[in-house]
Amino acid sequence: MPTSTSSTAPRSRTAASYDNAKVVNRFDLTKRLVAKLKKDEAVIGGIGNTNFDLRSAGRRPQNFYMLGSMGLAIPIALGVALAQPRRHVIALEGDGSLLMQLGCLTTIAALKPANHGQRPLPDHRWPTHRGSRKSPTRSRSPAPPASPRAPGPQTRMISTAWSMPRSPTAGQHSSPPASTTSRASAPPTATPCRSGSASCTGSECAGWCRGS
Amino acid sequence: VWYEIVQATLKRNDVKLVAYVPDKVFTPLIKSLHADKDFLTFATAREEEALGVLSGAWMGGRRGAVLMQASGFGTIPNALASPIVPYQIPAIMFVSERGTLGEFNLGQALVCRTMRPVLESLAVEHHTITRHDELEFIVDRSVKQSVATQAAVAFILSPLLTAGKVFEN
Repeated sequence: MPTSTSSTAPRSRTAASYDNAKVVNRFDLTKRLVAKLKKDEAVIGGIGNTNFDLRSAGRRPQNFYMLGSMGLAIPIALGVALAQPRRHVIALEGDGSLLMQLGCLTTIAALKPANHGQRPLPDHRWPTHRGSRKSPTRSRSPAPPASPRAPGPQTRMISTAWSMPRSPTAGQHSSPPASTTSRASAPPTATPCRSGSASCTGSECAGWCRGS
Repeated sequence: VWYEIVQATLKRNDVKLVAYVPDKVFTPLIKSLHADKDFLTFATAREEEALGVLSGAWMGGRRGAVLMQASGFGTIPNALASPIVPYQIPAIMFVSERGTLGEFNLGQALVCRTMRPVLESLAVEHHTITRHDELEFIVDRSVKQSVATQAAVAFILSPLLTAGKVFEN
């Protein structure tokens, strides 16, 4: 993660180092995830962009496109995992949403050994951060598991940055902290498209960039 | 005893996933549920979270209940407004009625007064249970109705039933 070495560093220098960073695009990541689904994996979208991305990546009856329940994607996924221990369950959650319900992680951790022999989980993946630069969830990536997990049911949690830039070349690099963003939607940016493609005409992002 | 009736009625109706936020009045029920291996009983950090888990469990085909204190109810209106009511999740809620009948805590008293208006404004069925001889009938029938109509239900357990919080010294 590039950082400015001095608080007086020129803005352009900081921006340039960000431009050189390899940025994972949230929608691209969602598309890759959906493309890798093989069986009846249940995917729970969080409020807002994670949900819209999931829908845009191709509808499936095993997806739940949640509206209005900010912070509850992971608890809902946990409920599915408990009810159907043989099914793989994936929650897509934004970092701001996760902050609203951080305690759910303790519930999942506590249930791990006491879940009737089922193991609904811990494979915490936090693959994307860069957008919410001031968010406490940024750059707190847990180390990967030391040993390979036993095969079996699990819940995978993917936290995506709430204010992830639409494009690595976007001019504006500062994002508001998650706690100040609107509950209803992410701040309107669109430079030029959330697919990360400068040439997107609407086909890559399911129409998201049209009109912006 | 009230908590044995609740437990037996839940089991008979195949409501075997119970999430709770600890409450002193509900402690005997919680302990009894933990001791019964037919139930999957676990604590959550917040009541909202418990309703989220119940929602996912229902989507996965499993019935669930949540136990909370009246003060905890004050944290869940958003979770009732989504996902519980719009997605027609038959969440079965047991609320330990605090802030009434002799309690000193003004904060609990205010939440106690707002609880029923919130439930009514969301059209969530609720019953205040005060008597042992009505407990099984109300819970059994209402759980069946909740599942059949896919609508949440709240049971408010009065201190008249549970003896409420016992103040020591």
